[in-house]
Amino acid sequence: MMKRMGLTLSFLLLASATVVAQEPAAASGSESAARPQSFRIDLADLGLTRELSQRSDRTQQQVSFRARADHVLSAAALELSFDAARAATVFERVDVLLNGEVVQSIPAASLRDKAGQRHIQFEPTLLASQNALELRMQPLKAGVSTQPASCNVSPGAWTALRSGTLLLQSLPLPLPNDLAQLPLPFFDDSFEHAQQVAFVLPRSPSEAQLKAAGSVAGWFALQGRRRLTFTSHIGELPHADAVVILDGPQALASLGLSVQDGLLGSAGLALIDNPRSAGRKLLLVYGADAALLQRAALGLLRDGYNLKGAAVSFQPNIALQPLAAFEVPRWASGASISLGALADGQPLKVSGGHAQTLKVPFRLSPDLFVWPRDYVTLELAYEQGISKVRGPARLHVALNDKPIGPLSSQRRGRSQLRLPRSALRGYNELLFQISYDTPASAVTCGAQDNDENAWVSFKPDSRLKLGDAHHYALLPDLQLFIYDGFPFTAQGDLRDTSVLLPAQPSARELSSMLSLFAHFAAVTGYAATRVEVKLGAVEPRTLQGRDVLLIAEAERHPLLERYRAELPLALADSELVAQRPARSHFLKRIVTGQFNDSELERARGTLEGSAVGAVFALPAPWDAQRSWVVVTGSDSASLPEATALQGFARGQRPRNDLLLLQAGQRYLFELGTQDGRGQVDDLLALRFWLSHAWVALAALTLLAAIVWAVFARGQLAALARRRLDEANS
Amino acid sequence: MSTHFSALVRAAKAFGLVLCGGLLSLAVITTPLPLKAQALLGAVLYVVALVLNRFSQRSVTLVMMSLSLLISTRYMYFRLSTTLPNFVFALDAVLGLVLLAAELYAFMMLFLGYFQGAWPLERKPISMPEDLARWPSVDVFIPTYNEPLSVVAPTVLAARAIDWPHDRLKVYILDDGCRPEFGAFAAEVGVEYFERVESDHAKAGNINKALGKTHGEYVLILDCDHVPTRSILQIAMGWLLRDSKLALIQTPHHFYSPDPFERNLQTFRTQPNEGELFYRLIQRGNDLWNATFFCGSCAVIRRTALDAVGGVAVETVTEDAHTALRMQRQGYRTAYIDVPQIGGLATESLSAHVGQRQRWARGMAQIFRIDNPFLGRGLSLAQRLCYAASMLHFFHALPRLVFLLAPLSYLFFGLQILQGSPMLVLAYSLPHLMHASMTNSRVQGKYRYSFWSEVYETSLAPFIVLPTTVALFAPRRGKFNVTAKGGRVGRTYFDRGIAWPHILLAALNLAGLLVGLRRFYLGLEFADVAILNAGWCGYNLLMLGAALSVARETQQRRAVPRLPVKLSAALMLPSGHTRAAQTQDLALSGARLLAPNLPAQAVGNKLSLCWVDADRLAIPAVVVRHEGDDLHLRFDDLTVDARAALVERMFSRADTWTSWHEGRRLDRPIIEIARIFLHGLRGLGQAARTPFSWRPRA
Repeated sequence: MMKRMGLTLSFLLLASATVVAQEPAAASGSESAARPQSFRIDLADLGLTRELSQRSDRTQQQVSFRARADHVLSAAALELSFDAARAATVFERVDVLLNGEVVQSIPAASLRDKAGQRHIQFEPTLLASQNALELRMQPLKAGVSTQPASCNVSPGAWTALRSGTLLLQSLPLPLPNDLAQLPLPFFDDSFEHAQQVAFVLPRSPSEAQLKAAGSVAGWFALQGRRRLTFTSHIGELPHADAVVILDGPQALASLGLSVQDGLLGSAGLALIDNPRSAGRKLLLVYGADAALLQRAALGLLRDGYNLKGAAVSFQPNIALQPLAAFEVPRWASGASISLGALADGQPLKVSGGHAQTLKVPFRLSPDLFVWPRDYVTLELAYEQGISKVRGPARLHVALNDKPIGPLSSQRRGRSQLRLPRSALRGYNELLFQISYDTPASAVTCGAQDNDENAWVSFKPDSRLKLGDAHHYALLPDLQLFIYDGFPFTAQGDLRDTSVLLPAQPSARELSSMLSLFAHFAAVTGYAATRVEVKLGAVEPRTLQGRDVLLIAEAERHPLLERYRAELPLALADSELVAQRPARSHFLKRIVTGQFNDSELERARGTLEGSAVGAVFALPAPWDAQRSWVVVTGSDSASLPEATALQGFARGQRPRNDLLLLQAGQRYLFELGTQDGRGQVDDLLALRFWLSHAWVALAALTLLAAIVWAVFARGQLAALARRRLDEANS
Repeated sequence: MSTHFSALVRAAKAFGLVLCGGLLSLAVITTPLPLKAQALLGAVLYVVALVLNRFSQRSVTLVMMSLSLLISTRYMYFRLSTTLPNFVFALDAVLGLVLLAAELYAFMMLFLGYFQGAWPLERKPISMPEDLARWPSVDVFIPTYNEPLSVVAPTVLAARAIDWPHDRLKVYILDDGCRPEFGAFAAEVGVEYFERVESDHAKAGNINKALGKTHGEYVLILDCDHVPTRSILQIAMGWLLRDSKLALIQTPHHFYSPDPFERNLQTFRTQPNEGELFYRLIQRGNDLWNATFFCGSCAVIRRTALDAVGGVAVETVTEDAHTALRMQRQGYRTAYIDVPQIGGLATESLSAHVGQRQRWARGMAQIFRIDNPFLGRGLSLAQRLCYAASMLHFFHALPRLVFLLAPLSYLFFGLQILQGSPMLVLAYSLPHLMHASMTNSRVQGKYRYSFWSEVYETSLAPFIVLPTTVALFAPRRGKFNVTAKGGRVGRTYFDRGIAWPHILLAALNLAGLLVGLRRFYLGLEFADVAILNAGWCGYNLLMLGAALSVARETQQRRAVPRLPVKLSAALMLPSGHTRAAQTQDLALSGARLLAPNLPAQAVGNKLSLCWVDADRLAIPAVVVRHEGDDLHLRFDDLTVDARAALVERMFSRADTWTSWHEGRRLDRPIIEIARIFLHGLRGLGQAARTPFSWRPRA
């Protein structure tokens, strides 16, 4: 990826437009193209996280920054916010350095007058294409001044720095129309900023166009690590970079676009200038008909890394290798997975005598089922270099911020750790936290802080042992959908998924759909290629054997009306109303401990008032073995995108089936009941159900006790009679 | 035909119940729950048990036992399936397995305890035949070694007074100490005297030698301080006459003097003593399973049964239980009647008590090794379990020490000997402990108050861990040690010599508690684990403190305590006048009486005491104090007849001990834990402020 970005800059001046914009407004936008753009970047996004600042005892923290790959940096400033009271107790001053030059020195004593706020403007002459920003803390001198200053700050001293924000201003540079630069001009994943992609669809888009748009959205999601957001434009071009989905010359013409004859062939891609906005580009995804449009989308998925030139066409049919169930590229699988495979080539070694955390992110199938075990085993082999200055490192392992356990501070060690199943999710971060005790003796600060003799290395052949794990989960479970796209992502190419939209989807509904396709692709590492998109009314029996994702504002899809009683949320008098789903049997709720309607009341309370976005899940009424997820909203503006679903939500329970989004807050509810779905035998499934029905288990326990007591009473009474009669024998 | 059919129906019904109960139990035991659900399950079932506990029916007791066992088994399954330690760090693994073994032991003892206590047999005495000619001959053996005559004499005198045809009752003093004064005493009171020079095999050898020289059809064995009532033989013999396969009838050991726990904790007669659980519940439970065993005294034994097993067993130092085991292997039955028929002296000091329990523990461990009840022929499964329960009980020392030290492994060394979420472990273990505690309180509460087993075990564990361990590996080692009786404690003192292991353990647990609290206070990593372990240390401290408070030996002035005996009596004054009085308490050395119309008596006045319903034998006495109606007398230089008369008034009545336990309060677990807490504080305080204490010479 970085290599591609490097190449990008060398192409900056090679502008060769083989695609001509027809719209005359193109020239009028040249001024806006040169207008500087501003960005705010949190230092935490650059790596100076609170978790690090709480643990670190280093005197300096360093981050690097630059402009977008297609921009040049014109100005930069830094805003720092300190806890003035705490600052006075932990440091004398903090020096701010840019590329090695001290820009400003901030004495702790000076922070009180401005409530700990500091704004530091950097001289433009100090700015380079790649910049190093360093904060250097001078700790308080202990005791009398004759004592040497400490080499370290006390752990947690950096928490005196509450937050930091970089303010960047950059000028866009003209880009050539070259597909090799993708995903530029849409986003630069190495540049730490929110990324948005605009899509353009003709009026009354077809199912094929929507399917192709979904595949392309998925491809963009695979080009970066960050969450994408999408805007949709129906029948008109935006004043921005955009992806245009076209299935035939008429669609091209309807948007006022034309391409050179034969350039795209019957199916192809092209990058052209946006005729509505100078300096902006359009990525055309073109097919002469529905099937050819799909070929173009698949071509992008297949050749996206190797595209060159302003346009490409795909002549032969493209058939991507189908994926088997749970054969998902980004999901680690197998009974025993090496740490090296989990790390996917990342180094498993850290050096330097200071506190740091080695992260190994990995994904597993979210329905991984090891029950009745409640853990999987991590067999770790590791070694460390022990420096004379720092001594042995203290090693702790955590999973998704949950402490798992310490490791012995040996030079070479092996350990078997249990990772609780409850802590494992679809996306996981295995954290190896390394810290050092502060030595009692005074040592050279430099030697101590960057001691290359102190290192810790984890062997790639360490193993995560999943054993005989099955795929099984209680559904509906919105957490699985929100974070892992489950159950849709169980098929990496979404072959079992039907996406339902109103007959005339709104731009908002399309944006929501695209964001979900992108989310699914980010989860699986594979863009949707076999998904089915259906517009308008649909006959339920045609949905047999399929998981269904319905995206529609409240009253805009007939299926919602048809199954009103089955839903946890229904439209009544133009308002969303929470209700108990018809299939949520009373007895079933009782045995799982749902004694009252507090969840229902809470949901109704949340729905009172302003506009609400909602996501709910339920067993598909037309096929109980399948799931139905509905993304809806009380009005167009409140229909949520995938990125809005994630984050802290109030009322979280082990499983939820309704998410409400209101005024930036998320609320989770459990209104219905769950059923198991997966690959386990009936007996294990029954026992697992019992493990979620504690009331039933309590009743069974009492029943078992009574049965044994009846048996014992009969036997013991008879024995007592025999004993007292024995004398007669 | 109908009998066979109904038997078949019964068998089918039992099979159905077992199958149904087994399947349900399997589901209950093996189904794990997440933390919140497990906590709710535990809470709801505890509330159910609380409601059940309000009903007194035996069926409800069985339901509560079953419930407790299910919950405990569920916990053990959770421990085995989920919380076993990693097996990479050797020390973690070893200590984790040690803790698991200790818990398995406790679980097994819980099960065996319920098995023994499920249905205590209510065996009533059977009347003797009208025809005296059918009453068999009985030899009464009173073995002694080094006890003073003052201790042995009342037993002999009371044995002589047993209601039994005189021509069929012979009393023998079996003296292993070869003391002439015993021979003279036997001659004076008209009983037989056997002395033994060699004294091999201790008490067992003593009895066996006497068996060879006597011919009674039955043998009544009495420890030399166990003073019998006159009714002992008539209470026991009916069953032996009725059942020819019955080898022995055991009656309870009843102690009329406080043991060190009762004396030093001031609980004498206000709460059950250590032995009551065994003699008032477990032996009755064993009786149901035909597994009552001989306790060395207060048992009438069929001579032919003794002969069949070669006399009293000599291979172990608990010859009594071993002998019963052998008889039962031969097909003989045993029985138990819960009517106290003797009064005995409890151990006087904690060190003497410890010595006695060391012998029992070593003896039971010896039997477990050389005549294991699970092995060999002749026993039913139930008998094997009952015998095993009684033997394994004495192995409690090692598990108890493990529980006292386990939390320190994490607090001091960070060793994770138990895997899993600490809150989940708590959610599983608390219901197990609370149900066991409630059910035991219901079953045993009349005979042992809640949490006192922990106090007893904590007190004894450091001392019996070695004898039991040695006996397991070298069962032939170790000698019989005689329990000292009839002594006094001259002054109150803290016995640091016996308490040092508890002081050490308390210091370690106190340090662990402080370490845990510090980690929790500072919010360090795994603070929840630290606070749970700290809580465990706190509980340990409580028990250790209570054990330490037992080591504070309270002054005991009298070698033989006075007994509360209310009898009508007459005081014969030197003037020749007689005044009616009522005894309040009696001892062989004196008495206290209520004498309403007695003229003022000066200290030192001489008078005589006699009972109106007897032989009018006057017992000379000296006035010690006379205040109002309250008269204190001292007896000097009593004749044998006078001492016999006193002994009969004090000990020989058939109902002497039947109302001893009346008027006690019910077990209240919360009250008991509060009391133990107070004892614990007192014990810890005592240990802290007595760095060097006086200890009397033995």
